[in-house]
Amino acid sequence: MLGPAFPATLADAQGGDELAFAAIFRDVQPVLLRYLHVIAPAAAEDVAAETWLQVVAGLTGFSGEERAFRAWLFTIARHRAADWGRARGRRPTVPLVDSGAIEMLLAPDTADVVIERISTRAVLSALATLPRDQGEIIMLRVVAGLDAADVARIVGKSSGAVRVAAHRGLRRLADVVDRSGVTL
Amino acid sequence: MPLPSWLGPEPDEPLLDMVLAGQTLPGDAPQGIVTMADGLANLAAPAGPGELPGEAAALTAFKRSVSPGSLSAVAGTAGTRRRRVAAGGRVRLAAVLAAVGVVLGGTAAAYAGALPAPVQELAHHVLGAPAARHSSDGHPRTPPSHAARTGRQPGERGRGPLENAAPHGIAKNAHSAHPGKPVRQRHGGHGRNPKKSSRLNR
Repeated sequence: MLGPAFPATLADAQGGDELAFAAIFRDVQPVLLRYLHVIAPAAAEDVAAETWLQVVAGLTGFSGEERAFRAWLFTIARHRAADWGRARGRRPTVPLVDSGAIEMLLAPDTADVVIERISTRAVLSALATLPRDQGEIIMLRVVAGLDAADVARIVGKSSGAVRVAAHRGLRRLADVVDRSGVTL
Repeated sequence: MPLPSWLGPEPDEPLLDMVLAGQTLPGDAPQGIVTMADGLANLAAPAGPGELPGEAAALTAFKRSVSPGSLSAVAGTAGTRRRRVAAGGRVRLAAVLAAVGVVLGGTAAAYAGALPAPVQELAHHVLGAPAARHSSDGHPRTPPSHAARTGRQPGERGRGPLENAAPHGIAKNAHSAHPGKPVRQRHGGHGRNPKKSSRLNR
């Protein structure tokens, strides 16, 4: 997140400053893509592109701080992903054992030869195998940095239900990690 | 298997809440949770190589939204409902309007406020041309937001629609009293390139 620099960056972008907009894009896009890889893995880049088109169209009308901006953006992304899902039929869930996530966790990442760590790709693959609500909520809370109230509004659940789903998803992820034997 | 709720909270719930909040876990946290939290934190990291696809397209869309005469920019000045109109719909609508304008004397007629009232009103909302009705003092009724953007008062003449002025001193409108929510576009819209607003001050 841009932190204290966000208000000025947003104001500049709303005024037409391309560099300011690029700064916002570069800050959000990695997280947005990773989120979409969990909820719309076959079309993450396309859905992200559609999301940014809508963000650009509504940028000057937005008012709020950084977390509110992310909540707005991820709400748009979720709707675009839902449109994609409706157009292409329900995404089949992949059982964890068939997802390759465990194998990914066990195989050394090309960028982490010396230290065994969970690679980004492996974590995303593991998240994508969770029930849709669990993986999505974890991404919005932990990765996108949204608070519980924002996540509850985005996914249309109560804060309590969000917390329960998140806990269940985290336990499953922790179980995958334990089974893989990966350490820091 | 999760414990029944009547037995109280699960022993790992405080740790899981810390993971959700992005907090540092205590040193005695189970290794599985620590490694999982580390993996999730990596997902929030800045972009790695090749993780910024789509930047060029997003920047192109952004540039078009702030360029003078862009349909999305002008449509964006005219209300929330128009913001929801698909780009294709705006193009079609503008094409129809342009065709009407050509028949009735050219698109310049729209900016001169010379079209019949219903068409002039449509041009006002889609292309940012002056509204059909004028105030009692004879000046075009200019929305306050345009004056704020351009620094010109209603009635002051600006540049013509075909002249390209360098953007400068773009004033921003006041935003919604509801932070965090997209603002309903007010009539006259938001802080934009003064080149567009100059068309209104005729």
